[in-house]
Amino acid sequence: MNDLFATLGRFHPVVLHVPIGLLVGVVVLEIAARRHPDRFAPARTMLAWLLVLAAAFAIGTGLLLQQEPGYGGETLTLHLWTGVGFGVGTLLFAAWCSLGGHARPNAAGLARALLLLPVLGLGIAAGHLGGTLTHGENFLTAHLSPAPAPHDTHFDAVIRPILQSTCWSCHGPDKDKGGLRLHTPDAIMLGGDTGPAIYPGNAHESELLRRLLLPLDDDDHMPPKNKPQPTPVQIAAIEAWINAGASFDAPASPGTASAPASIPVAVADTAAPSTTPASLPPLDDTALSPFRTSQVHVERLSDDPNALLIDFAAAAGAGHADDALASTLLSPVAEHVRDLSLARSSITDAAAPTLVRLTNLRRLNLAHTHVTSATVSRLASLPRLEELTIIGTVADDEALAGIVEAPSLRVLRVWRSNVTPEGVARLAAARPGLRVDTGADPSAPAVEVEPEVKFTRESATPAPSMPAPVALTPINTSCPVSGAPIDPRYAVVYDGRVIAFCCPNCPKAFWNDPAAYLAKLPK
Amino acid sequence: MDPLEHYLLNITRRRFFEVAGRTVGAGLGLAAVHSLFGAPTNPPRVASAPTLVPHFAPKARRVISLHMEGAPSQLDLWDYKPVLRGRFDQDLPDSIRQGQRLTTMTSGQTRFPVAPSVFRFSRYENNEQGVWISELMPHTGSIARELTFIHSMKTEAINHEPGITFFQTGHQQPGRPCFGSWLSYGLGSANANLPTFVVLITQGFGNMQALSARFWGSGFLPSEHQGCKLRAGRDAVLFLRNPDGVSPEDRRRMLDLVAAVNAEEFARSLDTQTQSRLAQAEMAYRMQSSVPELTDFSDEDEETLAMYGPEVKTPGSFAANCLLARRLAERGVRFIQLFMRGWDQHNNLPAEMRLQCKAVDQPQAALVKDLKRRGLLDDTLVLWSGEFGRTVYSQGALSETNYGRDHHPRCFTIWGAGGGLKPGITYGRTDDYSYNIVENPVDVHDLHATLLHLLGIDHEKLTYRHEGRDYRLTDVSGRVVKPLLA
Repeated sequence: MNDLFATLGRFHPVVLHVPIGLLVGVVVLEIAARRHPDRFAPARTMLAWLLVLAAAFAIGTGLLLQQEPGYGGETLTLHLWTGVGFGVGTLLFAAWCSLGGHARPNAAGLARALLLLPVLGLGIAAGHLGGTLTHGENFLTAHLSPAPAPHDTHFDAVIRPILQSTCWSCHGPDKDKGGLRLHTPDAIMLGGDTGPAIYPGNAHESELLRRLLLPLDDDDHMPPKNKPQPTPVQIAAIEAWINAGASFDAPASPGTASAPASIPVAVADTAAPSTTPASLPPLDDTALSPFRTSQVHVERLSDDPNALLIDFAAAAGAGHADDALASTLLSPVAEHVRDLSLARSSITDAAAPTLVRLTNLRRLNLAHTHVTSATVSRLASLPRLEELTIIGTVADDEALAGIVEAPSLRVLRVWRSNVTPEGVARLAAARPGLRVDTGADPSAPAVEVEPEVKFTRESATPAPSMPAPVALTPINTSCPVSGAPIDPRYAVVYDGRVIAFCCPNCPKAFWNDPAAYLAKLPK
Repeated sequence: MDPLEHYLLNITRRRFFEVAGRTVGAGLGLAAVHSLFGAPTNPPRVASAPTLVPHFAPKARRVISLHMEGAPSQLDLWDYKPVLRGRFDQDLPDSIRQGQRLTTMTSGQTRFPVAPSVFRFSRYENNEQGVWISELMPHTGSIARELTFIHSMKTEAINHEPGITFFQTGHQQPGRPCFGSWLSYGLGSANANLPTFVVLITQGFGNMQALSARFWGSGFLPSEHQGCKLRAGRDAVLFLRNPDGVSPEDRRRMLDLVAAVNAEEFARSLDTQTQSRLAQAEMAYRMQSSVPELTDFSDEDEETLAMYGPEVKTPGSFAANCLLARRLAERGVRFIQLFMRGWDQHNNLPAEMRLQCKAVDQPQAALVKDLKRRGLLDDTLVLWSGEFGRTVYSQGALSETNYGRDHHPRCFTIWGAGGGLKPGITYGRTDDYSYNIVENPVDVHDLHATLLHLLGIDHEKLTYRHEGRDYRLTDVSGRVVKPLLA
């Protein structure tokens, strides 16, 4: 198909509106012509012929458009035949208007009405099916349908609605752009023209997520720029789902319902989102200079230069890392802080308001500081906090009760604080996926001990894993292939004898026909 | 960075006009002025910190290297060869020896009798089928789940000096920067009050070889990247304390005056060594308070001290240095190099190994455990190594209870923990005599490339121009050993 036709095909979504408008006009004029045939019948007939032309053009462009990859399916076939039927109907109607009917006006009028009704019906059907192709199923009634029944699986409850609302219009039951459909588990696992869409357990190798995370301007970004985009929360949910193994059968977590807004909490237990879907605003170097003058180490992270690792170790050692310094330095860059160590600094509970503003914080070390359970409990509101260290603080079981709500927390180090084993047990019961490090010795004794060492001189056989090579002294001094002096580096073993050659090529000639060269070797 | 570029970056606007003015004042004429203003087609550049690395997201942010100086015997610690027990005093087969080079200490021996290890091995569970470890290292064995063993290390050097130099710098001849210096140069400091590269030395109980300061030298890199040795005595760093009668204020005034003189010298000569000197004087001043805080263990709880063993309160012991290493890691020091001397068991091996292992086993296991429970093991890479291995045959007389082993560069065992290494695995295999590698050899450049990779550095891109060419730690070799990565 050449480019001109392809371009013409793309006009289908534009020109299809012309017959719709004309059809309305024809219907109105037909009704008007019942009363005043003299005034309106000629106009109706002319409009009917225009409608035939417009319908033909729409059908033609539609036929061209369907040649493009990504179109197919039952809906398309229906759309095609209702459209063609509509075109044929308009032709019959226009012909009837022009040719027949003058003899018996009443009968002709009835026949026209009988003809126009199915044409109208076919037009509506074709239009609706076309709309379904473009916007997806249930587009019309999406706001009317009642809330779906609670879903049994996490996929049905969380993932499918996201795919349905943002992907299915091009990769669903009706279209398979790029060979990809995402409306059934099988179709998802099948992938598209560029390969598998997802690798269960590895979101970042998965084409689906890669496309979602590309910049909006990138040609490969999905969904395309002008289509509805999934929210960062939804992307995080998909990422977590893939990382958790992309199961279609895993039960929905309680409280998920089908509300995508609650996803970050719902998915946090299986796998916390490991990237920041919402990209951070650019961070200027000048914003970091106060850190350097205060002896606080700050480092841009290589996967996102606008995310920061901050370590107060030097300032803490020098004794000036207090609440005021933490607040002054951290507040201006709050959303950029991802990894923060305030260990051995002199911060107190007064730093809590600063800490809870660090919404992108993932790792926090508060070891050997003066914070109490009050601060630790407030940290539960940090949505991305994965690792928290409060060893050597006065935090107690109250802190554990508070932190249980932290949605993304994976590791908690609490030893040498005032927490009790009961408190840890309660936390472990409430959050099975959370690893609580109580400083217990991880040593494991030997599982097997060699019997008493005894030396013997029995086995004289050489090591089996390193078979002894035959003596590497070649039996010949001149190359059997070329006759030149041998180079011992190029030797082969044949029939228990080492035969050397002059160059790496001669052994190939030898192997092709050993018998021919054996005669040239010394016996 | 190119030193010339480095030099040019130091040309500030003020310096530019100063030189321009002087040139005019000296009456050299308009041509000179013209050449000055016309020559630089690029706008004057402002000095800024070079953004070198990381090249990709790092797993490790710092390294603790435990170097067993003298080369411990892999056969008596890690490389379990039970089949040798049946070949006591038999000659090493020629098929195994393959005529490989020996040191002159044993090349004259009339025979090479196989000396199986006298030590019993035990199997510890790791994340594979388990790993057999000698009775000399029970604590280390008990944390096998955290450890990554490489049984197939090899090196080119056959003697200590070139061996350690090769292991440290990627080259057998002295004069190149050490791993720690490269790291300091590439990643910079994470704590302005401490050096980026710290060296701690423990005296051994066995045969000790020379340990020269070039094993932590910065070679051709700027001298602020050399390792700073912390001593075990009253002063961890010599001449750091103010002499009696000198107050901190006096010291500050003196430093300010010296700094002013040095700044003037720099403006005149643009010699970057002046800046190194300034930086080091300021660092020393800050270390006056940061080092005593670092070496004071009074804030460590009894349980932690007990974990490192009874020697932890003896300054300079391996236990004390392991604890110090953890404290340095906590404070953001990039490269912490421990040397344990005395592993050169040419004779009297069983007795000397017992003493050596008693000194290191518990502290090194404690270090890994302590890092782990503090959340530091994730981004701290611990490496345990010697400079080469030891021979399966006995050097000198062989008896059922005593033997010695000569140097053996063809294969030896090292282990690592944390920092993005795959925990609880063994990599590589040697033959039944632990003499040749039969599977997955790893040479020193490969090891360096892999460690740099874990630190977020592409070993082919971290370069420094010196004497007209770019140098790198892995020279023209090295490959990242992917199976070792978590």
